[in-house]
Amino acid sequence: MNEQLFRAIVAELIDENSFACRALLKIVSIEFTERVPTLAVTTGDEPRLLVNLAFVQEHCETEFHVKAVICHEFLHVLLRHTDRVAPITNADHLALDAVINALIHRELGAEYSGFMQKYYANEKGLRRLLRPWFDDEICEYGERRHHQYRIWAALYQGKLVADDIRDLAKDLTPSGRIKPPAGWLAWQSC
Amino acid sequence: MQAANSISTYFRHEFNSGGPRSRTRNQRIQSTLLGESRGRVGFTSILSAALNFEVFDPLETVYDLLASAGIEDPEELRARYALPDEPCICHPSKTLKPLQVSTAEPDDVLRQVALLGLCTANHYDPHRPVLLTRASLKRQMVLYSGRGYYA
Repeated sequence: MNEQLFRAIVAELIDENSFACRALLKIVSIEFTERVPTLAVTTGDEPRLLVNLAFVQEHCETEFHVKAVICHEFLHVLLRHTDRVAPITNADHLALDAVINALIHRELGAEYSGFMQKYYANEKGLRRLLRPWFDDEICEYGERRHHQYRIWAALYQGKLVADDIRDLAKDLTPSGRIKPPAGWLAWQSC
Repeated sequence: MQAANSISTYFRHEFNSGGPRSRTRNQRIQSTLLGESRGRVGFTSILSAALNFEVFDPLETVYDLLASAGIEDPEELRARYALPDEPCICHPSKTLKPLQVSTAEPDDVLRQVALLGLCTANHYDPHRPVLLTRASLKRQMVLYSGRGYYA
């Protein structure tokens, strides 16, 4: 992966997706840098897309994966997360990223969200919401009847919003920790 | 000229009505689509939900109530109470008198828990999971029939 190829993939993406084009019109520049560990967009009126090419090289197995990480950053811009001036907490980060990844899975399919499934494969607790579930996790959750699965499924069906996930995450942080019924314990490892 | 954007919050706006010196006149306008309809347009309030947990933790209190009622999964609340089966518009209200959880009948509390668990800050959706968080349980909400609009 090099800068030229990355820019070519961005160009192809905006040909395919009108929303990607709208996002790119807001982004003033693409900068390749190792100052960020992955990819990021800066906040403010003139967001910049920061790209760590080594991360893309190491973790993106296909062009769909590259497009998925670009779309993720573009959606932060389109959903106006970059307009925020208030500090972003870990719960906010998780909520915004999870909603975006669910949107990518829903709208662009498993070829794109396969990146999230691979990159976040070993996440525990609520951070698993950052990716679609694996088939064996459906079995673990008892044929889709378990409450946690329902929350996960509802997020990926677009029935939950970022505020829901943020509130859930805030309740499960160490300071907000409670003793929930047994069925909720798996979230506690968040 | 002042225009009310919501029931309780006023924002100052300048309008030009076209009349002489219209920018120099002040007039307060209060209008909302939420509430009893005075004309053809308006969304009728159908329900409210507000709980007062006093000094107690909302989640722990509700989990205890659920356990006492033999409810293992908050989803069971859905079958237990008659809840609106269509999405509704929600609006927070500080004028509601919240139900005192410590003294109210557990059944009355759990019915409101079910409603609040299906609400975001501005939307009631019976198709989402019953999501119990401290934030959702502390909301004081009025639900309005969307009549097919917005909700």
